[in-house]
Amino acid sequence: MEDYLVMQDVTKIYNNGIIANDKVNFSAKKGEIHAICGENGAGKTTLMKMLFGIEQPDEGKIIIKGEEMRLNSPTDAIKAGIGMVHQHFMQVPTLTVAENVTLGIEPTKGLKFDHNKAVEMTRECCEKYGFDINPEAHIQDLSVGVKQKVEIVKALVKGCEILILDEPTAVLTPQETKELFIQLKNLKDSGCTIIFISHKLNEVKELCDRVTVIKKGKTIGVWNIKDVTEADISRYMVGVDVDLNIPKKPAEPKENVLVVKDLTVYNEAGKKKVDDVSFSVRKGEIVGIAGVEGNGQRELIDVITGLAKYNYGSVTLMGKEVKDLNIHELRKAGLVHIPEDRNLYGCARSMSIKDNMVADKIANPEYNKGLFINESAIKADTDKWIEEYRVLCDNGEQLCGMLSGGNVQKVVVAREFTSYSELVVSDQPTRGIDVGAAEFVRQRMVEMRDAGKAILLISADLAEIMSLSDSLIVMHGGKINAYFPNVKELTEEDLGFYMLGVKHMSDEEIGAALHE
Amino acid sequence: MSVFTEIWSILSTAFSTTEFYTMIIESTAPILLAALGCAIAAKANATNMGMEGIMMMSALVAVLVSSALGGAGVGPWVGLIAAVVVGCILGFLVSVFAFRLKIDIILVGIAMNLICTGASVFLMYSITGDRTTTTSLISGKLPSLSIPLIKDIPVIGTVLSGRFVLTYLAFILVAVLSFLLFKTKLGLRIRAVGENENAAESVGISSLKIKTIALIISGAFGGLGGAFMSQCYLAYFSSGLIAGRGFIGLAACTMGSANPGIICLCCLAFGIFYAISMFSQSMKLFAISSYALLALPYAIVLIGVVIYSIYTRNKELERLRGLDSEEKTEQNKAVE
Repeated sequence: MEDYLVMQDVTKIYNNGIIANDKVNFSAKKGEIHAICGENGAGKTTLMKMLFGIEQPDEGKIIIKGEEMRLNSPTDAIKAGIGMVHQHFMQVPTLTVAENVTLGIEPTKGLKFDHNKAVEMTRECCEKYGFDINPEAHIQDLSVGVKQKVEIVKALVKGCEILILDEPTAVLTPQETKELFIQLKNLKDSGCTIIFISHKLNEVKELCDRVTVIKKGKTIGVWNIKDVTEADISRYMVGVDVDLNIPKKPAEPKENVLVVKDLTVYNEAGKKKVDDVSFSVRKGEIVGIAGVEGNGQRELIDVITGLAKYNYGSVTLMGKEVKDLNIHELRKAGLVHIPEDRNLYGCARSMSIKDNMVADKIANPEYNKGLFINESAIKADTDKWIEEYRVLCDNGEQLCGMLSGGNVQKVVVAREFTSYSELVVSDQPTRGIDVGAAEFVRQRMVEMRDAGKAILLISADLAEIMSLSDSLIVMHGGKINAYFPNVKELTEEDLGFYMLGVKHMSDEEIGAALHE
Repeated sequence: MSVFTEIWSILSTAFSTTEFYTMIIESTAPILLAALGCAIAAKANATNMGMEGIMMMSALVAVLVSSALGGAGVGPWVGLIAAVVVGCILGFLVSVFAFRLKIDIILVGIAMNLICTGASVFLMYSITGDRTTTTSLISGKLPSLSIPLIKDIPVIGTVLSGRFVLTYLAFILVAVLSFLLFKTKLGLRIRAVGENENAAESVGISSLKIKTIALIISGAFGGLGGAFMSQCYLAYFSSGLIAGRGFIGLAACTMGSANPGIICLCCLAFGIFYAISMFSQSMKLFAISSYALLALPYAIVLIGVVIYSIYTRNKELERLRGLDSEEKTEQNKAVE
């Protein structure tokens, strides 16, 4: 089959001198699902931005249906039949589905926007491709899964023949993912070319026909998916075998560090988000918290890390009631926290790597000389950490905002792991970062555990939470639904049942989570 | 006489006099024009803080242009057009500073107000030699309109007919703006840009262009409001003429959630207190200071905004609760 889309020797150098794409070659056939895999900062997103007209290549050609194209804006790309589903949905919440779908190509009747026509266009498109969406519903009332479908319909209604999906499953539940895959396969059968960007290799393996691997801005190669294994792909991506089985000795838990007892938390709207939860985390063990997002994990972590207050029950860290301490005192008591949103809570993007790394230790005597900051001591330590934590950067003076996601995460982890700690709260520590960096962070966590720290791990990545945790708590509807003192005996399927609330454990079994 | 009996006497005389109702309508109009202007900008996620200054400048220009043409005949009309043009230009300037030069739009608005305050006095002084008013110029007024049939209805006729042209226009514009915002392509794009700029950009809509258009239209409304003050309300310009009406418009716009219909009601409410304030100036008062009455409309705005913010907060909480329970039923369904 003829190549439908060809990107030939595409090079993109950003103004700051970073070579994002270096003679990248990519091609896709009509009616295939083509995966692009690569680490964070490998240049996948840049490549797709050029295809969608958001960025322009400095060199190279983009050829669609045998015709060389110059894509100066998304409008050009849309005209050329390219549609993109961004990681963050490009939707207007208070408008209806039909209005969102037809935005930019609004049908008009005289002076008026023709809403009936817009609804009709949307309905037609939904029926054609088998999406079940009500065109007159308002976006703000829809679930994430449906919103994503709207995003796809938005591209299709503009006659798109090449659909780019940028990590589409990151926000979906397993059920929604399954549904999405069925629909993507339908789209493929109707002749649409789909470019699928994902970190989840099992999904790539399940869904795609071919895979292109990009590493450090260069194309590594293209393979038919049936000829490669997941391990192969990850090896191509990082160059070394990623050991998905994290090597670790059995845990040797000692005394309690964090004790949560009968904790109930209400959110602003007065709804009970955490419901009578009790558990403890001991020295030298990793306790995982699994659960579908929105089942109280967020509120629980906010309370433990002092970001939110609670009125019912108690949370004690090293014997001190968390409620009575401010964040500074909490940290002094031994809390370190890798927050879920590294850009919002994890670092100051407009400050240097060095400043970010010492932000929580700047008051330490070793970094001060009388009234002034001891720059040389800080530089020596941060340079050491940059090396130790393998932060890819020019030097410590580089701004955090310039780094790729994985490297920002390494900066956050470096800061937190080099602070005095008794309890490490790791909230989605590897979300959205590349395989190599994730592996590194995981290994560090095991090292911290072996050094006798208590670790509380929250992760949406089931494989991660199952291989890393020593014991596991499952949350459902704000309650602890299950407690597994030994994760090794647990299957992924079983975990799914507890996460979805299909199965429940007895109070006695759950009570074992609190070690007294 | 106690304060309460005096308030009672003011209110009872006011509400039984037809002039009071005409006062309500006439004092609502300029706030309404300002509020509608703020609304279209607000829908594009641009706070037009400079409304006050825009009104001030265009009010002066209307007077100057009109008097240059003799202040009669077409003079006031050309003055009106000039005021609208000045409003559009100033609105455009706000958009240039805020979106092209990326200065915080609130700061641009404050700067616009300060510049217009100074510039209008400077311009007035260099042309008329007077620092406070343009009474030395003959600039004339825009005509009033008597409406056939309605004018013959007793009482209602005298209130509804014979108002200024711009008063009628202000109320008509409520419907026009509603249509523009909710029924046209431009309106859809303005709302889309206002709510999620990236979404609009991703489908090829230039948010810069849409916001600029919204601010120019906003400026045009400010121009009409300014012209109302110097060509209908009074027949001259003075430095304290606008007296915060631009800001009150902004408040009314916020309270009306940038929705023209609700904005109109908010403005009428403010108009009532303006009218009470004006009406009571003509009465002999003992217990209440007339200065307190002058401050009345502004105090009411403050109270109104506080009530509004409590109301929206509760509404938002209610919405969240609703979402929560919906989520639960959905989850239960999924499990089943």
